[in-house]
Amino acid sequence: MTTTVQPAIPRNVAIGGFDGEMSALDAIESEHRQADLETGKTHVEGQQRAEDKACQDAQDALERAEQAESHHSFWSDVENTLGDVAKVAGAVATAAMAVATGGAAAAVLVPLAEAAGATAGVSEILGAGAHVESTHYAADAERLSSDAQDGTLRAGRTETAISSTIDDIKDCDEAHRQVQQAIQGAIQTNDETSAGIAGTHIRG
Amino acid sequence: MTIANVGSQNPVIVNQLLASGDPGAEMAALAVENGTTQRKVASETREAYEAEEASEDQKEVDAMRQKANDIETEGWVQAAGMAAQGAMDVTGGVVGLKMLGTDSSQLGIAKANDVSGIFRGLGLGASAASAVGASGARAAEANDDANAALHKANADQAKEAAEDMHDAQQGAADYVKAGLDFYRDYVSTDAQTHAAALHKV
Repeated sequence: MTTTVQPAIPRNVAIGGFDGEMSALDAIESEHRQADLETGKTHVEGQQRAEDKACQDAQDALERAEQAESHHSFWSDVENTLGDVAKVAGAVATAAMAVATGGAAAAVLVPLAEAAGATAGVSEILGAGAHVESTHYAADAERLSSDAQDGTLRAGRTETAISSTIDDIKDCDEAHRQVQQAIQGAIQTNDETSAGIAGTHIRG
Repeated sequence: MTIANVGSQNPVIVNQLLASGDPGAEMAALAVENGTTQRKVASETREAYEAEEASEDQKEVDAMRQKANDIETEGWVQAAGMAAQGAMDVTGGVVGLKMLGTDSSQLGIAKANDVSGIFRGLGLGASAASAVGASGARAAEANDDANAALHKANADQAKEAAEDMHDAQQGAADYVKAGLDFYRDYVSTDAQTHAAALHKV
């Protein structure tokens, strides 16, 4: 965290004697304390915006991943259906061919087998297209999940950074408070010492 | 600015106190100097761990993106095999039907059956080859998952180490505070002693 450069002499401070100088120091410290608090606040606000953006990015990516997952699911169903059609057609072709080679109805069954085989082939080609679409959306869903993970991780790191900044602000404020306390203690001690000396003179 | 900066920003003051000959001032200055150094080291180490965490997070995300690419590759390879098998089945069927159109004798049927069988066999061969390619891509996906898990574990480890360093930083700041508190009490007691001595006089 950076500090703001403050004027050496604060406003509305009259300088005169030890107490006056200490009061001026106290006022400078007070202004520094306030300035550091303001700087810290601005810094945290910036980090908060970055965290919000990362969360929003993650949320958007998750929503789009869900959409891609739903497309993937649809195309996967299409592929499975076409796969089932191809399997049935293939089984018909195999069965018809087996019967045709051994029987007299070969003239009918062999063309049926060839046609079933071709149907299985067409289903497989269409199934291949559906598979490309299905895996394309699966890849998209994975990519968007990685974007969501990226956003979540960024948000987590920013949250840690915010926590550290707040700790720094607290430390800094505590340091200023201690310095101010020391200055006020010095003024008080000086006053007490002066009073003691004056009392000694009176008794003397 | 942090409390430890009291020492780092005012090294001259700390050095003067260290050489003042006043044991209380020297002790306080030493505490501030040590605390400041400890905090600086802890802060730098924490930043290094945080940078490592960010880098491992990025590698985890990269591994997930690589998995997406591998899924797509696997899809294309497997689809190529499926399409080749389909094309061979269609070709076999059409060629078989054409052959039957020209020769529907028992021998013609057998020939058509053989030819379409050859095409189907070629299709199965292409499908098997693509299955091998696709299983390679699936192995790459599993590898990407393992990479992502490894980098996630590394990132978690770096995060924990950074948190430990944050605690160490706080500890060092407390040490500096204790040094300053001690010096304030020391000066106050000293002043009170002098005031009491003056009263006696």
